Amino acid sequence: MFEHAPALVYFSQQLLNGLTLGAIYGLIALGYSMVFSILGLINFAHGEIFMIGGYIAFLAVTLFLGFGLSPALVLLLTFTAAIIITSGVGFTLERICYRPLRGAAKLAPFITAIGASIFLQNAVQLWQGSQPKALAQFLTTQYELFPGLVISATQLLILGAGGLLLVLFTLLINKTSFGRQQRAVQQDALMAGLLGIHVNRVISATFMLGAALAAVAGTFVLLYYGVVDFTMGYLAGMKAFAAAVLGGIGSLPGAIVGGLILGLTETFWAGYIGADYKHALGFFVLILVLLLRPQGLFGKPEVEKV
Amino acid sequence: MLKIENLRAGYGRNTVLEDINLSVNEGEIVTLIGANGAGKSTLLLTISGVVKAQQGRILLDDTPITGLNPPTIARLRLAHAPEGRRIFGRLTVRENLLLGATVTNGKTTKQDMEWLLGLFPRLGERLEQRGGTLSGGEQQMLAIARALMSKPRLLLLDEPSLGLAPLIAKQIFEIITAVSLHQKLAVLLVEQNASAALKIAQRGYVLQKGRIVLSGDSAALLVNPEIRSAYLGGH
Ligand SMILES: Nc1ncnc2c1ncn2[C@@H]1O[C@H](COP(=O)(O)OP(=O)(O)O)[C@@H](O)[C@H]1O
Ligand SMILES: [Mg+2]
Repeated sequence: MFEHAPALVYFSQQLLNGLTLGAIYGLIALGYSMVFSILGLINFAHGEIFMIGGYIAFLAVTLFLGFGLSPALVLLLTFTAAIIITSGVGFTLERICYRPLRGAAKLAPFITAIGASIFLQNAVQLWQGSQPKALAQFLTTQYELFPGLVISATQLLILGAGGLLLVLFTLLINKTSFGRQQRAVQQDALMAGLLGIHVNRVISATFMLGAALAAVAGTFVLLYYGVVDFTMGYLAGMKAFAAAVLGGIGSLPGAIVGGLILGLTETFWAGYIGADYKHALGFFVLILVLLLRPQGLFGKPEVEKV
Repeated sequence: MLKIENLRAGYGRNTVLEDINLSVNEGEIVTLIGANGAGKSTLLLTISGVVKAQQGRILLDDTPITGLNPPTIARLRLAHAPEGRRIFGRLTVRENLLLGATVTNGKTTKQDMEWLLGLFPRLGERLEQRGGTLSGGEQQMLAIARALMSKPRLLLLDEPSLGLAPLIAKQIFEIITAVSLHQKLAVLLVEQNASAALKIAQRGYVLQKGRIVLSGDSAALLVNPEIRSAYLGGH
Protein backbone atom coordinates (compact mmCIF):
# COMPACT_ATOMS: atom_id res chain seq x y z
CA MET A 1 0.00 0.00 0.00
CA PHE A 2 2.83 2.35 0.86
CA GLU A 3 4.66 1.98 -2.43
CA HIS A 4 1.63 3.33 -4.24
CA ALA A 5 1.35 6.37 -2.04
CA PRO A 6 4.57 8.35 -1.79
CA ALA A 7 2.66 11.14 -0.04
CA LEU A 8 1.69 8.75 2.73
CA VAL A 9 5.28 7.52 3.08
CA TYR A 10 6.48 11.09 3.37
CA PHE A 11 3.81 11.85 5.94
CA SER A 12 4.75 8.78 7.98
CA GLN A 13 8.40 9.76 7.90
CA GLN A 14 7.57 13.24 9.18
CA LEU A 15 5.38 11.73 11.88
CA LEU A 16 8.22 9.50 13.04
CA ASN A 17 10.69 12.37 13.09
CA GLY A 18 8.20 14.63 14.85
CA LEU A 19 7.50 12.09 17.58
CA THR A 20 11.23 11.66 18.13
CA LEU A 21 11.77 15.38 18.53
CA GLY A 22 8.62 15.62 20.66
CA ALA A 23 9.82 12.92 23.06
CA ILE A 24 13.01 14.90 23.60
CA TYR A 25 11.11 18.15 24.27
CA GLY A 26 8.77 16.27 26.57
CA LEU A 27 11.61 14.91 28.69
CA ILE A 28 13.04 18.40 29.18
CA ALA A 29 9.61 19.94 29.74
CA LEU A 30 8.91 17.52 32.61
CA GLY A 31 11.81 18.96 34.59
CA TYR A 32 10.52 22.51 34.09
CA SER A 33 7.06 21.52 35.11
CA MET A 34 8.04 19.62 38.24
CA VAL A 35 10.30 22.33 39.57
CA PHE A 36 7.70 24.97 38.81
CA SER A 37 4.93 23.15 40.58
CA ILE A 38 6.98 22.49 43.72
CA LEU A 39 8.75 25.87 44.08
CA GLY A 40 6.77 28.20 41.81
CA LEU A 41 10.14 28.82 40.15
CA ILE A 42 10.87 28.95 36.44
CA ASN A 43 14.24 27.25 36.48
CA PHE A 44 15.77 29.11 33.61
CA ALA A 45 18.97 27.09 33.95
CA HIS A 46 17.18 23.85 33.12
CA GLY A 47 18.17 24.14 29.45
CA GLU A 48 21.81 24.27 30.53
CA ILE A 49 21.32 21.15 32.64
CA PHE A 50 20.16 19.46 29.45
CA MET A 51 23.20 20.78 27.59
CA ILE A 52 25.54 19.50 30.32
CA GLY A 53 23.84 16.10 30.05
CA GLY A 54 24.71 16.15 26.33
CA TYR A 55 28.37 17.01 27.04
CA ILE A 56 28.75 14.33 29.71
CA ALA A 57 27.26 11.86 27.24
CA PHE A 58 29.71 13.02 24.54
CA LEU A 59 32.69 12.56 26.86
CA ALA A 60 31.38 9.20 28.05
CA VAL A 61 30.74 7.80 24.56
CA THR A 62 34.18 8.93 23.41
CA LEU A 63 35.84 7.46 26.49
CA PHE A 64 34.07 4.12 26.47
CA LEU A 65 34.37 3.64 22.71
CA GLY A 66 38.11 4.16 23.22
CA PHE A 67 38.11 1.14 25.53
CA GLY A 68 36.73 -0.92 22.64
CA LEU A 69 33.52 -1.82 24.48
CA SER A 70 30.46 -3.10 22.66
CA PRO A 71 27.93 -0.44 21.53
CA ALA A 72 25.27 -1.74 23.94
CA LEU A 73 27.64 -1.49 26.90
CA VAL A 74 28.83 1.96 25.77
CA LEU A 75 25.20 3.11 25.67
CA LEU A 76 24.44 1.72 29.10
CA LEU A 77 27.51 3.29 30.69
CA THR A 78 26.90 6.59 28.90
CA PHE A 79 23.33 6.90 30.14
CA THR A 80 24.44 5.95 33.65
CA ALA A 81 27.26 8.51 33.69
CA ALA A 82 25.13 11.27 32.18
CA ILE A 83 22.27 10.67 34.60
CA ILE A 84 24.41 10.49 37.73
CA ILE A 85 26.65 13.47 36.99
CA THR A 86 23.86 15.68 35.66
CA SER A 87 21.59 14.99 38.63
CA GLY A 88 24.56 15.96 40.78
CA VAL A 89 24.63 19.30 38.93
CA GLY A 90 20.86 19.71 39.46
CA PHE A 91 21.25 18.96 43.17
CA THR A 92 24.11 21.45 43.52
CA LEU A 93 22.24 24.14 41.58
CA GLU A 94 19.30 23.94 43.97
CA ARG A 95 21.46 23.91 47.10
CA ILE A 96 23.67 26.84 46.07
CA CYS A 97 21.39 29.03 43.98
CA TYR A 98 17.80 28.46 45.06
CA ARG A 99 17.64 27.14 48.61
CA PRO A 100 19.18 30.23 50.21
CA LEU A 101 16.50 32.30 48.45
CA ARG A 102 13.57 30.17 49.57
CA GLY A 103 10.91 32.52 50.86
CA ALA A 104 12.41 35.57 49.14
CA ALA A 105 10.34 37.54 46.64
CA LYS A 106 9.67 35.57 43.44
CA LEU A 107 11.85 37.82 41.31
CA ALA A 108 15.07 37.02 43.21
CA PRO A 109 15.27 33.30 42.41
CA PHE A 110 14.20 34.03 38.83
CA ILE A 111 17.09 36.43 38.33
CA THR A 112 19.40 33.91 40.01
CA ALA A 113 18.17 31.29 37.55
CA ILE A 114 19.10 33.51 34.60
CA GLY A 115 22.49 34.08 36.23
CA ALA A 116 23.00 30.36 36.76
CA SER A 117 22.11 29.74 33.14
CA ILE A 118 24.73 32.21 31.90
CA PHE A 119 27.29 30.86 34.36
CA LEU A 120 26.80 27.24 33.33
CA GLN A 121 27.01 28.09 29.62
CA ASN A 122 30.27 29.92 30.12
CA ALA A 123 31.68 27.28 32.43
CA VAL A 124 31.12 24.61 29.79
CA GLN A 125 32.59 26.87 27.12
CA LEU A 126 35.75 27.38 29.19
CA TRP A 127 35.97 23.69 29.98
CA GLN A 128 35.23 22.23 26.54
CA GLY A 129 35.94 25.10 24.16
CA SER A 130 33.54 27.00 21.96
CA GLN A 131 33.63 24.57 19.00
CA PRO A 132 30.73 22.10 18.76
CA LYS A 133 31.64 18.53 19.68
CA ALA A 134 30.88 16.04 16.94
CA LEU A 135 30.53 12.37 17.63
CA ALA A 136 32.45 9.75 15.63
CA GLN A 137 30.25 7.23 13.81
CA PHE A 138 28.14 5.56 16.45
CA LEU A 139 24.77 3.84 16.30
CA THR A 140 24.17 4.86 12.68
CA THR A 141 22.26 1.76 11.59
CA GLN A 142 19.09 2.51 9.65
CA TYR A 143 16.15 0.26 9.03
CA GLU A 144 13.92 0.66 6.02
CA LEU A 145 10.36 -0.10 7.10
CA PHE A 146 9.00 0.44 3.60
CA PRO A 147 10.69 1.83 0.55
CA GLY A 148 11.34 5.43 1.46
CA LEU A 149 10.32 5.13 5.13
CA VAL A 150 13.42 4.92 7.29
CA ILE A 151 13.87 4.63 11.02
CA SER A 152 17.32 4.88 12.55
CA ALA A 153 18.54 2.87 15.52
CA THR A 154 18.73 6.13 17.46
CA GLN A 155 15.11 6.96 16.69
CA LEU A 156 14.07 3.50 17.85
CA LEU A 157 16.01 4.05 21.04
CA ILE A 158 14.50 7.50 21.63
CA LEU A 159 10.93 6.39 20.96
CA GLY A 160 11.30 3.14 22.91
CA ALA A 161 13.39 4.21 25.88
CA GLY A 162 11.90 7.71 25.96
CA GLY A 163 8.35 6.37 25.90
CA LEU A 164 9.15 3.81 28.60
CA LEU A 165 10.78 6.48 30.74
CA LEU A 166 7.76 8.77 30.45
CA VAL A 167 5.48 5.91 31.54
CA LEU A 168 7.73 4.88 34.45
CA PHE A 169 8.03 8.45 35.54
CA THR A 170 4.28 8.98 35.54
CA LEU A 171 3.89 5.82 37.65
CA LEU A 172 6.57 7.03 40.06
CA ILE A 173 4.71 10.29 40.67
CA ASN A 174 1.19 8.86 40.79
CA LYS A 175 1.61 5.48 42.42
CA THR A 176 4.57 5.45 44.79
CA SER A 177 4.97 6.80 48.27
CA PHE A 178 7.72 9.15 47.06
CA GLY A 179 5.36 10.49 44.39
CA ARG A 180 2.65 11.03 46.98
CA GLN A 181 5.05 12.99 49.17
CA GLN A 182 6.19 14.97 46.16
CA ARG A 183 2.62 15.97 45.30
CA ALA A 184 1.92 16.80 48.94
CA VAL A 185 4.93 19.14 49.10
CA GLN A 186 3.74 20.74 45.86
CA GLN A 187 0.37 21.57 47.32
CA ASP A 188 1.25 22.57 50.85
CA ALA A 189 4.86 22.31 51.99
CA LEU A 190 4.07 23.46 55.53
CA MET A 191 1.47 20.74 56.04
CA ALA A 192 3.77 18.16 54.46
CA GLY A 193 6.45 19.10 57.00
CA LEU A 194 3.98 18.75 59.87
CA LEU A 195 3.26 15.21 58.66
CA GLY A 196 6.94 14.33 58.94
CA ILE A 197 7.86 14.68 55.28
CA HIS A 198 11.40 16.01 54.84
CA VAL A 199 10.45 18.82 52.48
CA ASN A 200 14.02 19.78 51.59
CA ARG A 201 14.88 16.22 50.63
CA VAL A 202 11.80 16.00 48.43
CA ILE A 203 12.77 19.26 46.71
CA SER A 204 16.34 18.03 46.17
CA ALA A 205 15.03 14.77 44.76
CA THR A 206 12.74 16.72 42.42
CA PHE A 207 15.66 18.73 41.03
CA MET A 208 17.70 15.54 40.61
CA LEU A 209 14.87 13.74 38.82
CA GLY A 210 14.30 16.69 36.48
CA ALA A 211 18.04 16.81 35.77
CA ALA A 212 18.14 13.06 35.15
CA LEU A 213 15.38 13.36 32.55
CA ALA A 214 17.21 16.30 30.96
CA ALA A 215 20.40 14.22 30.90
CA VAL A 216 18.58 11.47 29.01
CA ALA A 217 17.28 14.10 26.58
CA GLY A 218 20.81 15.49 26.18
CA THR A 219 22.13 12.02 25.43
CA PHE A 220 19.34 11.46 22.91
CA VAL A 221 20.19 14.72 21.14
CA LEU A 222 23.86 13.78 20.98
CA LEU A 223 23.02 10.38 19.48
CA TYR A 224 20.35 11.76 17.12
CA TYR A 225 22.18 14.78 15.72
CA GLY A 226 25.71 13.57 16.44
CA VAL A 227 26.76 16.93 17.85
CA VAL A 228 26.52 19.04 20.99
CA ASP A 229 27.49 22.65 21.61
CA PHE A 230 27.49 24.84 24.65
CA THR A 231 24.67 27.12 23.45
CA MET A 232 22.21 24.35 22.66
CA GLY A 233 20.55 24.58 26.07
CA TYR A 234 19.16 28.02 25.37
CA LEU A 235 16.81 27.30 22.48
CA ALA A 236 15.96 23.76 23.63
CA GLY A 237 15.24 25.13 27.11
CA MET A 238 13.00 27.88 25.74
CA LYS A 239 11.09 25.40 23.62
CA ALA A 240 10.70 22.88 26.43
CA PHE A 241 9.45 25.70 28.62
CA ALA A 242 6.95 26.60 25.91
CA ALA A 243 5.92 22.93 25.78
CA ALA A 244 5.40 22.84 29.56
CA VAL A 245 3.27 26.01 29.48
CA LEU A 246 1.39 24.76 26.44
CA GLY A 247 0.47 21.55 28.26
CA GLY A 248 -0.38 23.41 31.45
CA ILE A 249 2.62 24.07 33.67
CA GLY A 250 2.63 21.78 36.67
CA SER A 251 0.81 19.01 34.83
CA LEU A 252 3.01 16.03 33.98
CA PRO A 253 0.86 14.62 31.16
CA GLY A 254 0.63 18.23 29.97
CA ALA A 255 4.41 18.51 29.70
CA ILE A 256 4.61 15.27 27.72
CA VAL A 257 1.75 16.17 25.37
CA GLY A 258 3.04 19.74 25.04
CA GLY A 259 6.44 18.36 24.02
CA LEU A 260 4.89 16.05 21.44
CA ILE A 261 2.73 18.81 19.97
CA LEU A 262 5.74 21.07 19.67
CA GLY A 263 7.92 18.38 18.10
CA LEU A 264 5.23 17.41 15.61
CA THR A 265 4.32 20.97 14.66
CA GLU A 266 7.95 21.92 14.06
CA THR A 267 8.69 18.83 12.02
CA PHE A 268 5.57 19.06 9.86
CA TRP A 269 6.11 22.76 9.30
CA ALA A 270 9.67 22.14 8.17
CA GLY A 271 8.63 19.12 6.09
CA TYR A 272 5.72 20.72 4.25
CA ILE A 273 6.25 24.45 4.32
CA GLY A 274 9.91 25.14 4.89
CA ALA A 275 12.55 25.40 7.56
CA ASP A 276 12.14 29.18 7.84
CA TYR A 277 10.45 30.29 11.06
CA LYS A 278 10.64 26.72 12.36
CA HIS A 279 12.02 27.86 15.69
CA ALA A 280 9.47 30.62 16.10
CA LEU A 281 6.59 28.29 15.38
CA GLY A 282 6.48 26.71 18.81
CA PHE A 283 6.02 30.09 20.42
CA PHE A 284 3.31 30.99 17.94
CA VAL A 285 1.41 27.83 18.88
CA LEU A 286 2.00 28.65 22.53
CA ILE A 287 0.51 32.13 22.17
CA LEU A 288 -2.46 30.73 20.30
CA VAL A 289 -3.20 28.12 22.97
CA LEU A 290 -2.80 30.60 25.80
CA LEU A 291 -5.22 33.01 24.16
CA LEU A 292 -7.86 30.30 24.00
CA ARG A 293 -7.02 28.42 27.19
CA PRO A 294 -4.84 30.46 29.57
CA GLN A 295 -4.21 27.53 31.93
CA GLY A 296 -2.76 25.39 29.12
CA LEU A 297 -4.20 22.18 27.72
CA PHE A 298 -4.10 20.07 30.87
CA GLY A 299 -3.89 22.81 33.48
CA LYS A 300 -6.84 23.10 35.81
CA PRO A 301 -7.97 26.35 37.31
CA GLU A 302 -7.55 25.97 41.07
CA VAL A 303 -10.60 24.51 42.76
CA GLU A 304 -9.98 24.34 46.45
CA LYS A 305 -12.33 24.97 49.31
CA VAL A 306 -11.06 27.08 52.13
CA MET B 1 4.76 14.60 78.76
CA LEU B 2 4.80 18.06 77.13
CA LYS B 3 6.28 20.84 79.16
CA ILE B 4 6.80 24.44 78.09
CA GLU B 5 9.05 26.69 80.17
CA ASN B 6 9.30 30.48 79.91
CA LEU B 7 8.67 30.42 76.20
CA ARG B 8 8.91 33.53 74.08
CA ALA B 9 8.16 33.23 70.38
CA GLY B 10 6.98 35.22 67.38
CA TYR B 11 7.54 36.05 63.75
CA GLY B 12 10.89 37.57 62.79
CA ARG B 13 11.65 40.23 65.36
CA ASN B 14 8.02 40.52 66.46
CA THR B 15 7.21 38.77 69.68
CA VAL B 16 3.74 37.24 69.92
CA LEU B 17 4.08 34.92 72.91
CA GLU B 18 5.70 35.95 76.17
CA ASP B 19 6.51 33.97 79.31
CA ILE B 20 4.46 30.88 78.48
CA ASN B 21 4.47 28.01 80.99
CA LEU B 22 2.24 25.08 80.18
CA SER B 23 2.15 21.32 80.52
CA VAL B 24 0.15 18.41 79.15
CA ASN B 25 0.21 15.02 80.86
CA GLU B 26 -0.06 11.61 79.29
CA GLY B 27 -3.57 10.87 78.00
CA GLU B 28 -4.92 14.22 79.12
CA ILE B 29 -7.06 16.67 77.16
CA VAL B 30 -5.99 20.24 77.79
CA THR B 31 -7.66 23.18 76.14
CA LEU B 32 -6.24 26.54 75.24
CA ILE B 33 -8.80 29.28 74.89
CA GLY B 34 -8.45 32.91 73.98
CA ALA B 35 -9.74 35.61 71.68
CA ASN B 36 -8.83 35.91 68.02
CA GLY B 37 -5.22 36.97 67.64
CA ALA B 38 -4.26 35.99 71.21
CA GLY B 39 -1.51 33.72 69.87
CA LYS B 40 -3.07 30.25 70.19
CA SER B 41 -2.11 29.07 66.72
CA THR B 42 1.33 30.58 67.12
CA LEU B 43 1.83 28.53 70.29
CA LEU B 44 0.90 25.28 68.54
CA LEU B 45 3.14 26.17 65.59
CA THR B 46 6.02 26.86 67.98
CA ILE B 47 5.57 23.45 69.60
CA SER B 48 5.69 21.71 66.24
CA GLY B 49 8.76 23.66 65.10
CA VAL B 50 7.27 25.90 62.42
CA VAL B 51 7.67 29.09 64.44
CA LYS B 52 11.06 29.48 66.13
CA ALA B 53 11.26 29.96 69.88
CA GLN B 54 13.10 33.16 70.81
CA GLN B 55 13.66 32.11 74.39
CA GLY B 56 12.71 29.32 76.76
CA ARG B 57 12.35 25.58 76.31
CA ILE B 58 9.86 23.03 75.05
CA LEU B 59 10.35 19.53 76.46
CA LEU B 60 8.81 16.30 75.25
CA ASP B 61 9.32 13.57 77.84
CA ASP B 62 12.02 15.73 79.45
CA THR B 63 13.98 16.01 76.17
CA PRO B 64 14.23 19.50 74.71
CA ILE B 65 12.71 19.76 71.21
CA THR B 66 13.18 23.51 70.89
CA GLY B 67 14.87 24.31 67.57
CA LEU B 68 14.16 20.97 65.88
CA ASN B 69 12.49 21.18 62.48
CA PRO B 70 8.84 20.13 61.95
CA PRO B 71 9.47 16.71 60.33
CA THR B 72 11.84 15.73 63.14
CA ILE B 73 9.30 16.74 65.76
CA ALA B 74 6.52 14.90 63.90
CA ARG B 75 8.65 11.77 64.07
CA LEU B 76 8.54 11.96 67.88
CA ARG B 77 4.84 11.09 67.55
CA LEU B 78 3.62 14.59 68.00
CA ALA B 79 0.85 15.25 65.47
CA HIS B 80 -0.48 18.69 64.57
CA ALA B 81 -3.81 19.25 62.81
CA PRO B 82 -3.42 22.95 62.06
CA GLU B 83 -5.90 25.74 61.67
CA GLY B 84 -7.80 25.65 58.36
CA ARG B 85 -7.53 21.86 58.02
CA ARG B 86 -5.00 22.02 55.20
CA ILE B 87 -6.28 18.97 53.37
CA PHE B 88 -4.38 18.14 50.18
CA GLY B 89 -7.29 19.03 47.94
CA ARG B 90 -5.97 17.48 44.75
CA LEU B 91 -5.07 14.18 46.43
CA THR B 92 -7.63 11.52 47.25
CA VAL B 93 -8.93 10.87 50.73
CA ARG B 94 -6.90 7.64 50.78
CA GLU B 95 -3.73 9.46 49.75
CA ASN B 96 -4.30 12.09 52.45
CA LEU B 97 -4.63 9.34 55.03
CA LEU B 98 -1.55 7.47 53.81
CA LEU B 99 0.48 10.68 54.03
CA GLY B 100 -0.59 10.88 57.67
CA ALA B 101 1.24 7.60 58.25
CA THR B 102 4.54 8.94 56.87
CA VAL B 103 6.32 8.81 60.24
CA THR B 104 5.31 5.31 61.28
CA ASN B 105 7.53 3.51 58.75
CA GLY B 106 4.80 1.06 57.82
CA LYS B 107 3.69 0.48 61.40
CA THR B 108 0.27 1.91 60.62
CA THR B 109 -1.55 -1.26 59.61
CA LYS B 110 -4.68 -1.97 57.63
CA GLN B 111 -6.46 -2.58 60.94
CA ASP B 112 -5.44 0.87 62.19
CA MET B 113 -6.91 2.44 59.06
CA GLU B 114 -10.07 0.39 59.35
CA TRP B 115 -10.44 1.38 62.97
CA LEU B 116 -10.14 5.03 61.95
CA LEU B 117 -12.65 4.62 59.14
CA GLY B 118 -14.96 3.06 61.71
CA LEU B 119 -14.74 6.33 63.66
CA PHE B 120 -15.30 8.37 60.50
CA PRO B 121 -17.55 6.22 58.30
CA ARG B 122 -18.14 9.07 55.86
CA LEU B 123 -14.45 9.02 54.92
CA GLY B 124 -14.62 5.30 54.19
CA GLU B 125 -17.32 5.96 51.62
CA ARG B 126 -15.18 8.58 49.91
CA LEU B 127 -11.70 7.05 49.85
CA GLU B 128 -11.10 7.60 46.15
CA GLN B 129 -12.63 11.08 46.08
CA ARG B 130 -10.38 14.15 45.98
CA GLY B 131 -9.97 15.87 49.33
CA GLY B 132 -11.03 19.19 47.83
CA THR B 133 -14.47 17.85 46.97
CA LEU B 134 -15.40 17.03 50.59
CA SER B 135 -17.71 19.19 52.68
CA GLY B 136 -16.23 21.30 55.48
CA GLY B 137 -17.16 18.78 58.17
CA GLU B 138 -15.76 15.89 56.17
CA GLN B 139 -12.55 17.82 55.59
CA GLN B 140 -12.20 18.39 59.31
CA MET B 141 -12.75 14.69 59.93
CA LEU B 142 -10.13 13.89 57.33
CA ALA B 143 -7.70 16.32 58.96
CA ILE B 144 -8.14 14.60 62.33
CA ALA B 145 -8.03 11.11 60.86
CA ARG B 146 -4.89 11.99 58.91
CA ALA B 147 -3.22 13.20 62.11
CA LEU B 148 -4.25 10.01 63.92
CA MET B 149 -2.74 7.85 61.17
CA SER B 150 0.68 8.66 62.65
CA LYS B 151 -0.36 6.92 65.91
CA PRO B 152 0.53 10.04 67.87
CA ARG B 153 1.01 10.30 71.63
CA LEU B 154 0.20 13.98 71.59
CA LEU B 155 -2.19 15.70 69.21
CA LEU B 156 -2.22 19.46 68.69
CA LEU B 157 -5.64 20.35 67.40
CA ASP B 158 -6.35 23.90 66.20
CA GLU B 159 -9.99 24.99 66.12
CA PRO B 160 -11.57 21.77 64.86
CA SER B 161 -15.11 23.12 65.15
CA LEU B 162 -14.54 26.32 63.17
CA GLY B 163 -17.25 26.84 60.58
CA LEU B 164 -19.03 23.55 61.29
CA ALA B 165 -22.68 22.90 62.05
CA PRO B 166 -23.19 22.38 65.82
CA LEU B 167 -24.18 18.76 65.37
CA ILE B 168 -21.02 17.92 63.44
CA ALA B 169 -18.86 19.85 65.90
CA LYS B 170 -20.43 17.81 68.69
CA GLN B 171 -19.63 14.57 66.85
CA ILE B 172 -16.02 15.65 66.43
CA PHE B 173 -15.68 16.47 70.14
CA GLU B 174 -17.10 13.05 71.03
CA ILE B 175 -14.63 11.29 68.77
CA ILE B 176 -11.70 13.22 70.24
CA THR B 177 -12.81 12.26 73.75
CA ALA B 178 -13.18 8.60 72.82
CA VAL B 179 -9.81 8.37 71.09
CA SER B 180 -8.04 10.13 73.93
CA LEU B 181 -9.58 7.69 76.40
CA HIS B 182 -8.94 4.50 74.47
CA GLN B 183 -5.52 5.29 73.00
CA LYS B 184 -4.15 7.24 75.98
CA LEU B 185 -3.74 10.11 73.51
CA ALA B 186 -2.87 13.48 74.98
CA VAL B 187 -4.59 16.40 73.24
CA LEU B 188 -3.83 20.11 73.31
CA LEU B 189 -7.05 21.56 71.95
CA VAL B 190 -7.37 25.14 70.76
CA GLU B 191 -10.98 26.27 70.55
CA GLN B 192 -13.14 29.31 70.00
CA ASN B 193 -16.04 27.33 71.40
CA ALA B 194 -14.75 27.53 74.96
CA SER B 195 -17.70 25.88 76.64
CA ALA B 196 -17.56 22.76 74.46
CA ALA B 197 -13.79 22.57 74.87
CA LEU B 198 -13.89 22.95 78.65
CA LYS B 199 -16.52 20.24 78.84
CA ILE B 200 -14.27 17.60 77.28
CA ALA B 201 -10.95 18.83 78.71
CA GLN B 202 -9.53 18.05 82.12
CA ARG B 203 -7.66 21.34 82.35
CA GLY B 204 -7.52 24.63 80.50
CA TYR B 205 -5.34 27.68 79.93
CA VAL B 206 -6.53 31.12 78.96
CA LEU B 207 -4.30 33.08 76.60
CA GLN B 208 -4.64 36.84 76.33
CA LYS B 209 -2.42 38.98 74.11
CA GLY B 210 0.28 36.32 74.11
CA ARG B 211 0.33 35.66 77.84
CA ILE B 212 -1.33 33.00 79.95
CA VAL B 213 -3.60 34.89 82.31
CA LEU B 214 -5.49 32.03 83.90
CA SER B 215 -5.28 28.27 84.17
CA GLY B 216 -6.81 25.43 86.11
CA ASP B 217 -9.26 22.55 86.13
CA SER B 218 -11.96 22.77 83.53
CA ALA B 219 -14.70 22.56 86.12
CA ALA B 220 -13.29 25.59 87.92
CA LEU B 221 -12.78 27.55 84.69
CA LEU B 222 -16.32 26.80 83.58
CA VAL B 223 -17.76 28.59 86.61
CA ASN B 224 -15.16 31.35 86.75
CA PRO B 225 -17.06 34.65 86.32
CA GLU B 226 -14.32 36.32 84.24
CA ILE B 227 -14.30 33.42 81.81
CA ARG B 228 -18.05 33.27 81.71
CA SER B 229 -18.31 36.89 80.67
CA ALA B 230 -15.36 36.93 78.26
CA TYR B 231 -15.53 33.53 76.55
CA LEU B 232 -18.78 31.83 77.41
CA GLY B 233 -21.14 34.58 76.30
CA GLY B 234 -22.10 35.43 79.88
CA HIS B 235 -24.54 32.58 80.45
N1 LIG C 1 2.73 34.38 59.69
C1 LIG C 1 2.66 35.44 60.51
N2 LIG C 1 3.53 36.46 60.40
C2 LIG C 1 3.48 37.51 61.21
N3 LIG C 1 2.58 37.65 62.21
C3 LIG C 1 1.68 36.69 62.39
C4 LIG C 1 1.66 35.52 61.55
N4 LIG C 1 0.65 34.72 61.97
C5 LIG C 1 0.08 35.35 63.01
N5 LIG C 1 0.68 36.52 63.27
C6 LIG C 1 0.31 37.45 64.33
O1 LIG C 1 0.44 36.79 65.57
C7 LIG C 1 -0.61 37.12 66.43
C8 LIG C 1 -1.28 35.87 66.95
O2 LIG C 1 -1.89 35.20 65.88
P1 LIG C 1 -2.46 33.73 66.04
O3 LIG C 1 -1.46 32.90 66.73
O4 LIG C 1 -2.92 33.29 64.71
O5 LIG C 1 -3.71 33.97 66.99
P2 LIG C 1 -4.95 33.04 67.31
O6 LIG C 1 -4.67 31.68 66.77
O7 LIG C 1 -5.05 33.05 68.80
O8 LIG C 1 -6.13 33.66 66.67
C9 LIG C 1 -1.56 38.03 65.65
O9 LIG C 1 -1.28 39.36 66.03
C10 LIG C 1 -1.16 37.82 64.23
O10 LIG C 1 -1.32 38.98 63.49
MG1 LIG D 1 -5.68 30.61 65.38
